Amino acid sequence: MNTIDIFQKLSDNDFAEDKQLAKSLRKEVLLPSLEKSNKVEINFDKVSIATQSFIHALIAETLQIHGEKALDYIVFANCNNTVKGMIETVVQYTLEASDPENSHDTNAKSSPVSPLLST
Amino acid sequence: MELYFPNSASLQNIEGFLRKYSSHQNSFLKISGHNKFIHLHPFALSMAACLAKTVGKSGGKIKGAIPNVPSLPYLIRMNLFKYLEKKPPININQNEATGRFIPVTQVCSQKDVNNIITETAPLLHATSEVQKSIMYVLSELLRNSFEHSQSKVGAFFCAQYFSKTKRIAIGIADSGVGIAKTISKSHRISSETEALQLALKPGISGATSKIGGNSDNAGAGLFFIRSIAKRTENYFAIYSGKTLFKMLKKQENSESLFADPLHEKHTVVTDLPLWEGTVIGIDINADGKQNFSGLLKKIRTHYKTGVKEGKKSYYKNRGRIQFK
Repeated sequence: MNTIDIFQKLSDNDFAEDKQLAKSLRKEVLLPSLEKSNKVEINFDKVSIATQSFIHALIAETLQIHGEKALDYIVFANCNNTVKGMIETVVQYTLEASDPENSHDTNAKSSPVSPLLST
Repeated sequence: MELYFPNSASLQNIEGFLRKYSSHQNSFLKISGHNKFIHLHPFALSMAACLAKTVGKSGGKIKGAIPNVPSLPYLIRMNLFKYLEKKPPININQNEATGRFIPVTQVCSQKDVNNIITETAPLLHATSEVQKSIMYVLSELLRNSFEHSQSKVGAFFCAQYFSKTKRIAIGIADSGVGIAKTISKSHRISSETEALQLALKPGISGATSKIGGNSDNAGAGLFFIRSIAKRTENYFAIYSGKTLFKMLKKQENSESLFADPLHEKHTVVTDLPLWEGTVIGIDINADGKQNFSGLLKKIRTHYKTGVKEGKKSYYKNRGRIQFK
């Protein structure tokens, strides 16, 4: 299992708000791991607060591509209630928005087929 | 261009300050002020600093002066003279105990945002709960500015703690493309008011036409910020182009949050002098009574509901998320 330690990535503080950081973690660790059907643990130990924008930039695309199946491969560790609540919110609205029945984006490109669907 | 500093420019009466601003003739900025007393909300201070830097960057001059009023030391400490590039008419003792504030700070790049927020927020000497809300607000607003505004001078922000009312006032300004241009990239709009309305709705971003955002943008930031103001019964104001939207302090029910900002008690002014960019002001409580985590939880609930308002079906996924 790959592990992302969020606090270690932050610049000496416990506030996860850097969307650029979240985006790079998503692209460099989370998405490649799921492409190979490898589990990922995202460790929020010592993180006191995360903005919704941070959580969205970290995990939304993963859910948009792989759908609910992605949740079988991601473990959120050591989250306080605030961070946990943000994650739950982002997961719910992202999966809702990804539901083809709910799509209002006429310009949306079709998503690539998730390799996780075959595992 | 002209900017007049009145005896009072709070969010409550910010229209008066904006009406005295003139955007004509951008080769210079002429400043003047009330001759007895000047009080400026961080909204006005950030806007003034941003305007001065924008004019200076294009080779314009700053003319005029701020009168020697009793509040001059405050204006000096808030870095107003620094960004006007004017020598203050008086000297002050910088080491004197002065109160809790973050002076006007220019943020030039997105990579500086995290360091600047975590370094400056403690200057307000707030409780940890209040500090979280300050940092949250600054992060969302500054990140928004860098992602969408294309401002050539970056973003300017400042904050002030008012002990009498136990609130913290925050202002942020940029001189970029403005809300209407950003939102219209992905959504059809017929007016600046409609652009502001969409920008303040949950799940709407100029980066995508999809409700709920794309891989990088949730379209949540401004909704969260105005919700923080509403839930704590404070003002929120956003000015872009010629339009100001101001959510009023007194609402019929501060517990409810409307996805459509026009359903809150508000004023909209559409004939103001042109501001090329965006200025935002918000007041938040600093009495320590509000638990920030609890506040976010309530806002999140309304955010989810607000995004769902555009949807046809509800997707349940409880129990599927792995926590350990």
